[in-house]
Amino acid sequence: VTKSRGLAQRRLRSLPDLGVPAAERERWYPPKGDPDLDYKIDNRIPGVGRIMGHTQFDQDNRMTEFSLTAQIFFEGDWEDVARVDSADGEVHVHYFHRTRPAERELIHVIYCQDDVDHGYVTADKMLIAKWSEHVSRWRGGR
Amino acid sequence: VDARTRQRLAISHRVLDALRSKEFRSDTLANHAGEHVIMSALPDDTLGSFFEEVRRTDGPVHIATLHGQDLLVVALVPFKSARHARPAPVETFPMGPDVAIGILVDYLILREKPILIREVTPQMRVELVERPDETELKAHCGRH
Repeated sequence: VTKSRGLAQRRLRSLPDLGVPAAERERWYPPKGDPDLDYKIDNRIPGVGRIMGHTQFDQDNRMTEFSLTAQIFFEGDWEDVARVDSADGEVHVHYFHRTRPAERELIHVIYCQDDVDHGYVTADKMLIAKWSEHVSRWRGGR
Repeated sequence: VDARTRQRLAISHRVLDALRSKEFRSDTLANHAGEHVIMSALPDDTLGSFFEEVRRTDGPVHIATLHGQDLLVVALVPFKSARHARPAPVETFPMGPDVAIGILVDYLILREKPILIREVTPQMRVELVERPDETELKAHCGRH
């Protein structure tokens, strides 16, 4: 009979084996939505621009997807300056430029439905709080 | 970004946050394209530009503004009377383009029910600046 090593051994056994790569958690994708629960928004901000987009909810009023685009009126047309959306199982932002292609940046992967709503809250803050930064970047300021 | 722009953006933030509420979404009206047009306005903005927006949109336009610290949303819906019905007597409220949103909001809160606005143009002073002489005028008037 071998002597038990006690607590130290039990702790060691409970640690994850770092040699085995952890399986990636499954992303959450929205179910096919009811078009009646889609809400299109055109928020006009006089003298500033507008925020165009849509949100979709399930029957329990939980957000399933969203897209918000900040636009400015430039030389007779509405131009996208930044967009945050929840497509492809991740909340991400598109930074637009006047003269070159847009950049895409991941904000967070959507692992559960609550991540969509968290992403929407982040999107709202990102677009509003950094409005002048988005406009300046689009114009080629940085 | 000046102070007024910051205030408008802050109202937009409140609007986007309010969209998460089912009640807010069901209380706002969509236009023909299914879009909910919501304008962020300061209480001292005047109605003129919003009248223009209603004409351009050809559908409901909402004005989101602040009443104290609270977000308040007013729906402007173009009024069309029924074509073949006898027009019912409706009380209309004349409002010019220079009326502040804050005044309209205070009035709506006091009334506690929708009102029908009749858009009025600013008053004009009209006078003759060149007139024919007396005899020509008499001859002309005599013919009619």
